[in-house]
Amino acid sequence: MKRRTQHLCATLLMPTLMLFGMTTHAQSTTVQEDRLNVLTNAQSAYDRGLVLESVDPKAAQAAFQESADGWRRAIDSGVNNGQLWTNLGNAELRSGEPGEAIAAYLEADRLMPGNARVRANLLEARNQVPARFDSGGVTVLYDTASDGWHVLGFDARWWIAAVAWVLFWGLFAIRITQRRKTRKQPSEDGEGARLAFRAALVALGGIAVVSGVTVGLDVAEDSWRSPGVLVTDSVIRSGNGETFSEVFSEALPAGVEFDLVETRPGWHHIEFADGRTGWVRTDHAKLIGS
Amino acid sequence: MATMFLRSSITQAARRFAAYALVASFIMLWPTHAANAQEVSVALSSKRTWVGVPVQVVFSVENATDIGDPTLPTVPGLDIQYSGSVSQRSSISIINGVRRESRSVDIAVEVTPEQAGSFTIPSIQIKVDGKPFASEPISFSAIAAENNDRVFAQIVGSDRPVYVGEPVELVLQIWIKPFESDQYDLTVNEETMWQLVDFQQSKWGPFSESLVELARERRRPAGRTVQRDEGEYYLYEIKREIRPTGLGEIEDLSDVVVGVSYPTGVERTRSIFRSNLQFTGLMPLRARASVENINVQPLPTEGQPKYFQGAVGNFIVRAAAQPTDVAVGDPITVTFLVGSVDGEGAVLDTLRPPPLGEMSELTKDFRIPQEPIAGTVEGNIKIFTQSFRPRWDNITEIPPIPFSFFDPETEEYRTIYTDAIPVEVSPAEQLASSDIVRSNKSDGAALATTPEDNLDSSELDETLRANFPVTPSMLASSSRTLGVTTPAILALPPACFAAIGLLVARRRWKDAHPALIRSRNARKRAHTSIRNSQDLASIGQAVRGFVSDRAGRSATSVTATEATKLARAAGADAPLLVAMDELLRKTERAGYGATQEDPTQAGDEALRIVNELNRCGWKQPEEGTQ
Repeated sequence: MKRRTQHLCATLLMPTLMLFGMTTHAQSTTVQEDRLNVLTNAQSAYDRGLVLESVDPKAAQAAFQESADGWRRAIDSGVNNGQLWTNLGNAELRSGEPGEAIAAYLEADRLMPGNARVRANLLEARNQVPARFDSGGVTVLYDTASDGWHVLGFDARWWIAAVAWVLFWGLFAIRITQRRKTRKQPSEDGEGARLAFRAALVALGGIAVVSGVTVGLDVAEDSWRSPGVLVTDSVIRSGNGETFSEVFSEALPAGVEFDLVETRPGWHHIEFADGRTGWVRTDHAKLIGS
Repeated sequence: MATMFLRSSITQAARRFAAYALVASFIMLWPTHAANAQEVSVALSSKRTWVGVPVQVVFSVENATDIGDPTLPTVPGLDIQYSGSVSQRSSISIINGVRRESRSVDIAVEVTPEQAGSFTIPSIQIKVDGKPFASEPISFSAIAAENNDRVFAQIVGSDRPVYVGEPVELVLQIWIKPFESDQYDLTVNEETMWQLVDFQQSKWGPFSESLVELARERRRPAGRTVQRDEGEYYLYEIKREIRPTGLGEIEDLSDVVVGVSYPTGVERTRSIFRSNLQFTGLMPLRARASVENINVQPLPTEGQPKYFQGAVGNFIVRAAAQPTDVAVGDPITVTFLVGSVDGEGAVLDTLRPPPLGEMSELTKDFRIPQEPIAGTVEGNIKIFTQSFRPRWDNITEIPPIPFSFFDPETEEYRTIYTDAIPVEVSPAEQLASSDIVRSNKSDGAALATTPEDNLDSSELDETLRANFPVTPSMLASSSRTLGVTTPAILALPPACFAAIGLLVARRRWKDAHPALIRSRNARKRAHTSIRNSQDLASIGQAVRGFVSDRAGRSATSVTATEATKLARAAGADAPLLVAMDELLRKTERAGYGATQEDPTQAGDEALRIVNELNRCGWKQPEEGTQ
């Protein structure tokens, strides 16, 4: 009786699960297709803008803006990768929004650190900003050093670190178990093998540690660095209110980059690369990685 | 007792006195309004005055709380103005215990005669506590003060034409005739005559700043005696350097008026201690300064240098740079100094900086902010500092910086240059700046500070900005988070390694301590052997094996007797020893076929004996014992 009941349950459950799985897969496929359509339309608008750029700059700008809206819609739907941010930055830059473009490129650079295309486009966007604060000191040193390890992507370095780590401990374990045998039967071949083992251990350990540290630094960077960009011409004030005096004699243009110090309702306390600080309205700035 | 009575009497007297004093104070302080009434009296400060010198009609109002503004009459030749309250007094008097309080307010109407003659000031009406009051008409006379060349002033400038922007020194000359009294054989000295200058009645124009400076230094213009028109005068000179900003006559000079309260007579005053001469009266004299023909000419347009910024005078320039060894894009602070050769510091105050950001000979190699820079004046030098950022690494010097000015002496424009400053510029490694960097969007090269910046724009357009192609892989999300797999991967290999290490160590330890392992496993092995035994002989062998394992002896070397001895040594009690001995003998006999007992019963007995023996205090077998 009991076995019969079990049989019945299994008979009912299996088709139900299969049906649910198929439905979920179908829904997922539909969502993916919709998102892909959004991206395709955004790319089409971008291409249209490129064609119109020399003929009808206004229409081109509208097309680039449409493209930017498309990329942004895809990002808002939950897709988050460096390629998408780069394409958004391109559209924003073409539509005359260097602040938004720099924000997008910085997001892309965060997700695809060291990517040459992102870096070049970021540089181009920065060149369109009529004012900027050049950074110096430790930040530049860190950025220079991180450029070195950003030759490899975040995921690649993670995998390298993981594989090297596992192999290191695996080899170590083998070496421990084999040590007694080689002690009992010392030979020149055994000595050579031991040296090779030792070299492999050092190499694997070094690779694991270096790769792991760079991955860790990339992750930690998000917590000790809170970069942001002005997305519109903004008056920087000495306090979190419109009544506070202006820090600079004129409004800073969109695209000026900063580091976030703290946030209070409606206002960001920001610090520029040269150490000067001020407050800017939250709707005038975008924070990277938030 | 007497002392107590005396103290009581004193206290009573003091209380009585205090009560009287309180009542008296209350009466004194009680306001007695009924005794006071409003009173208004009018007086004129002087019946005679000079033209231009005001007299005051003073209304003294007593015991009023509300005084309205007077209604002023209009009289030709008189300027009548209300001056408001000029003084207030209050008094309290107590007569025969009656306290009286009075308060008096003086308000004044100032009457200034504009011409000589006799005048009558009509009735002036005023409301006091709502009640109207009118003064009686008052007469007075005004006399015109005749200068008769006692005081005159003139402004002297440069002998030659003055150019716009050229500094020119003006001199205000004040000529005052010394007052003389034949009666007392007196000639007033120049210091006293300067003290008679009426600063209130004077208008100094641009010379007021010079007088303020003199006053701040507790100085005054020194007078010297000079002959003029066969008369002797004290001449006081006040200097002022100005820079005309417009053509024609210099503004404000025509309004300079010098007022002097000139003595009308002198008399001797005597007192107990000394006798003095004092002026019997002062006559207000006013002299408008005559201005010599100081014409301001425009700067010539012909030959005006390109970077002329309005500097007029004679200058020298120097330049310095710090640091001189920099990378492309790094700032070099250039200090540009302009010195006034003529020592005229005032000209430097308004001196504009050279347009460094517009000089192509500089901007082709250096990025220079366009904003005008403010300079600082130190003595006869004005210092401008500007930030230069080299564009290329092949720059060897900051070229000579031109400075153009108009020399009024030679009446021509001149352009002078600083010396070139050698610099060493290396390729850019990083941008380092402590200041905001301005760039001009229209100036394509303005931001080209690093090799990356110098990328061809067409290349940028065609490749660098290209979008990533739209593929399904673009829908994959990535993030810079580590997730749960990372700690797992981080911890798992060392954990496995530790487990393997433990196993290996355990194996090695077992290999190194076989007797101990035998002793520990003796019961288990004996149980297994007994359960698997089919006959009594093998049961006995299992029990002896157990004893030999626990005692660290070889299994084959232990007989029943030895086993009993070893058990006794381990602390087995007598019944257990007896039972074991019986069991072992029985099993031995069975080996020779002497008995046919059921092995199951013997097995159970053997198990019990092994269990009890296992609880005895067996010594740990020594290493190497077999």
